[in-house]
Amino acid sequence: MDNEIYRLPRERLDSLIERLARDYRVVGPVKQGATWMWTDVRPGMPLALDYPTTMLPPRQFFAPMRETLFRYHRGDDGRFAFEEPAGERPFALLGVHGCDLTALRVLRAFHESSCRDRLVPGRLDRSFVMGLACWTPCLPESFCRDMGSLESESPASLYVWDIGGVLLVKVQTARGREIMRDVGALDAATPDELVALRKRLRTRPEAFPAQLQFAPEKLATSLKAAESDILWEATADRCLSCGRCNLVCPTCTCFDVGDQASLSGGDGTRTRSWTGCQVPGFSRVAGGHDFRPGRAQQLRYRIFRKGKYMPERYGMVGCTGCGRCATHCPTHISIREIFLQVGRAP
Amino acid sequence: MRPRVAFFSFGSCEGCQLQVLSVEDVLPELLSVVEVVNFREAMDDRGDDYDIAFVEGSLVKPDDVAELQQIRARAKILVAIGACACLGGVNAMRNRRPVTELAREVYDGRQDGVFAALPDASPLSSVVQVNYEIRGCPIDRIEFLEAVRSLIAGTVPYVPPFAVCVECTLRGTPCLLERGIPCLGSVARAGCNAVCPAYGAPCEACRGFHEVPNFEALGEAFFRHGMTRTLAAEKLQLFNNYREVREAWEQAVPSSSAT
Ligand code: SF4
Ligand code: SF4
Repeated sequence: MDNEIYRLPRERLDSLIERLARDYRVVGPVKQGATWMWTDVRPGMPLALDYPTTMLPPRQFFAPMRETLFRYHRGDDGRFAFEEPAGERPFALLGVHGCDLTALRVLRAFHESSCRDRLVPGRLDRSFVMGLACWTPCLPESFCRDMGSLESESPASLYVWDIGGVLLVKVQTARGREIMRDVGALDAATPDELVALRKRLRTRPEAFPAQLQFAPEKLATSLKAAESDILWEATADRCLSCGRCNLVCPTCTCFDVGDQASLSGGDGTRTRSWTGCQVPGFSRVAGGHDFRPGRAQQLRYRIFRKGKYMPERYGMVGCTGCGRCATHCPTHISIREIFLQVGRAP
Repeated sequence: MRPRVAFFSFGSCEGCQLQVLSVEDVLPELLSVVEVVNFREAMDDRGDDYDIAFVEGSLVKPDDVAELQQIRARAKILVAIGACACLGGVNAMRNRRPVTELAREVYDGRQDGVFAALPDASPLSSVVQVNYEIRGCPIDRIEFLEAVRSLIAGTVPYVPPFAVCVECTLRGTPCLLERGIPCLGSVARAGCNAVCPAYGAPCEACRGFHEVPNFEALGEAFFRHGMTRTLAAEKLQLFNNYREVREAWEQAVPSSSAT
């Protein structure tokens, strides 16, 4: 399917949304006040193809911020009955950047690992994703090119290049072709358009100056060397333990599980919700024991997980270079700068 | 047998009791699990035989101390509700100035009807042992019900250990600091679902602090966003000015220097 690149006139985006809305809940980046958020889009709404990244990552649609796992009810005989929530409408995500596509692969790898989750991979399977190529870095803190996610085109049924004028769409799955056929957009890109695309892709790296002086694969070893570095203490002095870095991260996967019971205790709901290693209370277990106390250790863990533990476990670097954590950190603790520092260390 | 529950009020606006009364929709269910024996805002009967005492307000008058001690002696479980009871709250703003001076200023020198005041307005924990706290100004009705449920079930009521920022982020609220608004959310305890920032109002830390507040970093966050560290100190005085609460941040965010 590699050569299946079609033309989608801009005004046909609307028909695409309309078509997808028949089978999916369609979401795309929409500006809300000062930030961009993934929001429901309807035909007639302009789809932003030039948005800088969203504040909250797309994982919210596959591993929701808060989701009901089941409801329980204690009957008169004292036995519990359980009920799972009805399946929700699958999502179609329009305009997912390379960094966030990469993150969806990390999300799947995590949820399909040793403790296999049923819900998240299921949602990933049922959803529809339209990827979108970037021409300029989203944020001053973006370093996607260094992390190898800028060029990521999967998982996506369709992948879009906005070359000005017409949109070029690569069909990457049978489902993608079906949708393109339904909106009547199966005209192959012209040779001129393909030449224009190739040219843009060739010059694109110039817009993304290299930020790291080493390949992301080297991170694991660099981090190992930085194991006892005072770097962690010094950086943690600026950390508020506010947890924003975890929550805005597209590859953070941690969650908390809890029950919300009725007053009499017989009925209730078990939910899971987002949390993360920088959130106070995260590493406290039964009996009150905290297995990773201290800000420096917690910060170190977050960086190690992205740069070392995830590559070791899933064969994928856990940081996509999207720049969200540094951008949204109140004291601007930058994972890019930390990587740079540990990479420089002898 | 349903546990007997009583409500008491010290120096406060009684807004927390009103929050308790706002649970109309679940009142029948609530009354099927507890028996209310004392609740001035809602009923005339007074009972002195209770298991759980919910107490709002801070201690402001000399009589308050003995009264609270008596409640403590009678109750098996004493729960402080609201910022005044848990932290000293806004009442403690007065603590840095002598009572006589304040009385002169506020009441224009007239003494009639001005009651005797303790030198410091203080949280309940300054005098008696408090078993649990429901924080906030005012408390949140859902959180109150959840605490009641936990107490009946014999478990510890849940108090979020993390910052308001967690709730802000999950609501998708862009950080107020980025707009130069002096928000205390990053040191403040969550549980309110970050309602103030969601409407553009900075967090005032009415629930006190989360488990590991970093006040130096708060000062830095203010500074980075074009505000002074002194402003952070001024903001902190609104709800967190009681001596022992103040000790947590006083060194880190100086209130007099110009940085
Ligand atoms: S966003 Fe910044 S201050 Fe907040 S927990 Fe993360 S690193 Fe620390
Ligand atoms: S607005 Fe306040 S509470 Fe919300 S993220 Fe920013 S500092 Fe935290």
